[in-house]
Amino acid sequence: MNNPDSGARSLGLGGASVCITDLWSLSNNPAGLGFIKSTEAGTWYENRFLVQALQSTAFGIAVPSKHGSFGLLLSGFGYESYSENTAGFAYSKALGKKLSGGVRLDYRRTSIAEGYGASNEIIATIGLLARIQPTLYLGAELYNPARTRLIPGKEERIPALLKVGLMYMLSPHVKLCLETQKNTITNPDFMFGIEYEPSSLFMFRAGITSLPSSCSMGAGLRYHNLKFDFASVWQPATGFIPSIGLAYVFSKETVPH
Amino acid sequence: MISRLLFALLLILGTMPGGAQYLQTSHPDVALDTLLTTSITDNMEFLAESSGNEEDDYTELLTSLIYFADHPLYLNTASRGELLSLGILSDFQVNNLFIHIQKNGKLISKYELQSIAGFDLQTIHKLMPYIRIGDPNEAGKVSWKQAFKQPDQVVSIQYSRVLEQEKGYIQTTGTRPVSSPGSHFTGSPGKLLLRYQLHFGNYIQAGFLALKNEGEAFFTGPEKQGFDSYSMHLQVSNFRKLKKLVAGDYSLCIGQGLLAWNGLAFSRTSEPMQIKKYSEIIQPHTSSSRNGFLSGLAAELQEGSWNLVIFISSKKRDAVVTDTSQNGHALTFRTIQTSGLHATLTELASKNTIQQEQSGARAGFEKHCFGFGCSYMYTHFNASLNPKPVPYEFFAFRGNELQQTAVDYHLLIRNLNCFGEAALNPGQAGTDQKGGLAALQGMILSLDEKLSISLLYRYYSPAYHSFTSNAFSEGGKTSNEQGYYFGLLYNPGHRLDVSAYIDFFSYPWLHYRMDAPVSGKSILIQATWHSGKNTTYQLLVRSKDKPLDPPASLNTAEINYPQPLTQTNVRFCIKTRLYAWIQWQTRMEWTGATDSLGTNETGYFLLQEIILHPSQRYACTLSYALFDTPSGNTRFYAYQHSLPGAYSIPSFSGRGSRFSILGRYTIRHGPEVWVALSRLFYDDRLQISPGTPYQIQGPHKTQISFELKWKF
Repeated sequence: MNNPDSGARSLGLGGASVCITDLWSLSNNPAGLGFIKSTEAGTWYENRFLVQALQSTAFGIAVPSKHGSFGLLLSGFGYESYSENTAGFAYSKALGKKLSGGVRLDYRRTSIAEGYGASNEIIATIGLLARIQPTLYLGAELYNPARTRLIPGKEERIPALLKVGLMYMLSPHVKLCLETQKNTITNPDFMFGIEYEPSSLFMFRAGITSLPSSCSMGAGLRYHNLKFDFASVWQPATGFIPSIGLAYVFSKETVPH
Repeated sequence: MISRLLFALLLILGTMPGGAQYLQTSHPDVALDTLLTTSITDNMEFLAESSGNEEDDYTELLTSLIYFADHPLYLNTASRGELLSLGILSDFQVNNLFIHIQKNGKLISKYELQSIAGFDLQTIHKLMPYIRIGDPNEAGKVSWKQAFKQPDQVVSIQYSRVLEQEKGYIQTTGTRPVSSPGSHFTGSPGKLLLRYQLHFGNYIQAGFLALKNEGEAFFTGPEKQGFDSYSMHLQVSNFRKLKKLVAGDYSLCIGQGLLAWNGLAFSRTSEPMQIKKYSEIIQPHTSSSRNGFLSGLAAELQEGSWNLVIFISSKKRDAVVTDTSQNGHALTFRTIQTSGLHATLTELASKNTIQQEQSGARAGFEKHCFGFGCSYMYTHFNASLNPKPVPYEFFAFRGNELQQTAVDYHLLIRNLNCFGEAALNPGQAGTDQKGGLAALQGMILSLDEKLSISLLYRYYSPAYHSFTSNAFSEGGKTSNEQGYYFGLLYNPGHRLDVSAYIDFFSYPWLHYRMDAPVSGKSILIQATWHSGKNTTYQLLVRSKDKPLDPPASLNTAEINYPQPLTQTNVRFCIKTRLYAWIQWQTRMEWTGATDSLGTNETGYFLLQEIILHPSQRYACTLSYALFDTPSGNTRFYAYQHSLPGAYSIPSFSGRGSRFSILGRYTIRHGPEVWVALSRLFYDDRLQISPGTPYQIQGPHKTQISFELKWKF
């Protein structure tokens, strides 16, 4: 799993989450953390095609402060015979109201059973998020620019990934997200997502992705300080990808977005 | 880049006693990356794409801008020629400026510019770093005496090299270089460039340049005298009737380039209203390129509206000699080498093997909006040029002397700007060398304040030859081409600009890799939206239809019918200046090509670039590009920020990524230090450039460059 989009909100939008700022910016674009207002912690679970071996889980916590936001992300993918476990530490700083930059450093362990062993990699991610107009955001994330090797000395590398996206706030209730992702081994990917927030309690999401062709739907509930999201992606070739997430916001006011 | 360092220079000079006080111009509202605006970098990319030369020193395209950034033009007293040479204003805008000054007196402040017809905010912003509004009596026109007291000197040293070892440098035992003269370099990796420039006001300019390219020897072997090439010039200007006198290396630019236009020139660009070329006729040669200039003496005399230019040049050229006489003199040569590299023994064998002499004159008349000129040029080689006897070279020049004559004119009437040139080289009696004609006629019409159109017709006969021409063309040569060009610029308002062109071209005779006369077309549409002061969105769509022989025919002598090849390119780009100190560009590009065998290929390119200038003392540019294209037909060109004077436009094909960083730091009371590092990774191969001396084992290539620049 080299595509590190996490969070049921991101999946509900088809993966177009580089401009979204919430807890899961820890994984989707570390620069998003620079704009969060209160400490948040949460977990997320995804199961691909209802196959137990292809499940992902993550736990994250993000803490904003005067000197920037700090975050910790722990995630895992796979099963006993093949697993990727990552611990990542993120830092992001907003520069005024218009720009935020963030970095995340991951320590990842890939292990394959039956004697194939395990390898440890260090992966860096850099993100940038800018509010280029009052209702328009531009975000970019570069994951693993150094293309860390899986096996030292061999040319087998974890690919680098570049994400660029725009988010347009059509109204206070509607967000439109458009994004392109390209990694160093596959074709480019284009995704589009819409998020509709009719009240402060509910949100509905829908999205489409081009690589592989798929569409997704999702919803979110916001009750006091609790956030509950779920989403499902349908890939015609292979099936459903359901995911679910729960987060808690440590704040005295009502939850923003 | 240059503008920033010049700004730093001004600050330093201001604090140093005895500095060039008359230059003390501070530009509080200068945009720091103005020299390299998007239109200039985009046009450089188009130029690299059509010429295929990625490593040319593109500095020469910016010579005027570099000069005027340092010595700003006083708008109230600038001449038409000086204003046009900036490349920012059109003939209409310059004319309107003169009319405004005539009607309303001299300009008092820069805010007045907005009231001049045709001066929109974009143009004014682009112009600001190079101009001054002010009473010229207080500063500006400096007298000879004052100029001599305050020289401007610049010394710079530049070094760059590829860190990985290229095959040409490996001295394997058992392989003597002589047995494979084209695959070993005679010198060390590493390019070294030394430059010195001296200005005494705008009266005297002198310069010196020494260059050692990668792989060339340095004070050893074939280069015992040190650098591989040297260049120098001395220019005296504005001395009574002598407008200019240059001794040394210089470039000659006449009319629209049919007869002579040394150096690089933009042809078709995304600015359809800039199809008319303008340049000073004689300019000292300051770039590090080893071709595209003349060497000798040139003089320009001005008497009222009459202008006379006389030039002579004698230069050694690199050529592949095919026949030598008994005492070793070259008798015939096949082609003139233009790479400028002398690193391998093969390249050294053709170094300076023939002598090219050129001389000529141009008499011109220039008054108000009308100009007219007649030119003559004579070229002589000490050996005979005898190209390959292949069908496409049927009309090529053969022999050792060439005479050319040309007439050019330009005329501005109200909203119509007409220009043209015709050049002729007569056939040679006693040979079957035919005479040839080249003609170009262009027109720019400003129909409305929202709409302008441009038209250009050209006919270059296959029998027209010139060794110094560089005119508007598809094929890059001023020969064997006929074309009609229509361009359009539309400003519907709301800060939206739409520019477009369509160019129908045909080659009346055969061409390299085209075994029959072909015709094709090229289309460009560009929409730019400036939202607010800080963000620009741009969408560019280009398509070119150009038939080419199928690749298999390269090795056969049969005639193959050229197959259509269509290339389409779509680019979307967002440039935003979030705060004064940070600018972010994001660019996404897609290319599709349908090749001669009918297969479709698509390529994708994604680029992120951040320019930081937190203070005048230091600046940094970071860029990351991801590319994925199957072949050379779908390659991408992207301007790469680099050291001043070393701009490059690398091309990307294959699948990989490139990261680059450029930093500049100005030491207080000391030199400017520039460092550039770039690393290219490929994900689809394990060797780079196999089969050439530049081969690298491994899928990455790292390049590092340094420059130190002192200004006195």
